[in-house]
Amino acid sequence: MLVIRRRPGEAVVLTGGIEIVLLESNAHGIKLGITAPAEVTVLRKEIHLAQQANRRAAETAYNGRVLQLLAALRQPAGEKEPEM
Amino acid sequence: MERTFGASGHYLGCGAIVHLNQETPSYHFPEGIPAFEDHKRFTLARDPSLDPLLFLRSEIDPNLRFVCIQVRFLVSGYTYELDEAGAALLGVSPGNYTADDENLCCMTIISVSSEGPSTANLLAPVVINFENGLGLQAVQVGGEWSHVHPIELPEAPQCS
Repeated sequence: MLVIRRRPGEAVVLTGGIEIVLLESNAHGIKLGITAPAEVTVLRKEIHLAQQANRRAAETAYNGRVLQLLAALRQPAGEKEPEM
Repeated sequence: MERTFGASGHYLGCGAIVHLNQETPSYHFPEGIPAFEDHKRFTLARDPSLDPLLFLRSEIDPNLRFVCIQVRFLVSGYTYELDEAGAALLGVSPGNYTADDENLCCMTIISVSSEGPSTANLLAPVVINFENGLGLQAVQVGGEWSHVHPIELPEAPQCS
């Protein structure tokens, strides 16, 4: 990972017309300002992960392996299949 | 418009699964859910042969569904936070809630995997307030739970 030290008011620039400026830094966190072309999507990472998970869940909602999943869920906690 | 989910409609009352043999009325998700923002109304369906799984189904596209489970059936000690915006959307107070809360049903969406363990999105629980029929996928910030929490599977039975 590239690590760059910045102070409030300083920025980094990415190719494609993207600029990220550090606006504010305090004990609660930092505030970023992002300038990017309209076609560039900017998302908080947790939202991005939730989108990915939802898309994958929608694609797999009819997977027949759900029956095996059920078997696992119905197994009492702590009880494992005996090893053969 | 306010919906009432009285005793006969309190299907999943958060203390215990109450029997539900058909689809619920639809719940309103004012913001949709991430990646499916246009889908604002979902029903919950249960097939008794697939308990404890539940199916969250979009009202405008019945083919869009999500396999869900109440979080308390999957992990213990789960808590999630509703920030000001999320709490306002559900009509409750902001703060931390447990998966066992009496008023809010806390579910997680499962990705059923063909290989490897299926996973549950514990980063972003689906929360429904049965009192007013409002729902939200409450994406957590800096949470300790993963969006791909593995659900352990026993060895696959041999199929012939």
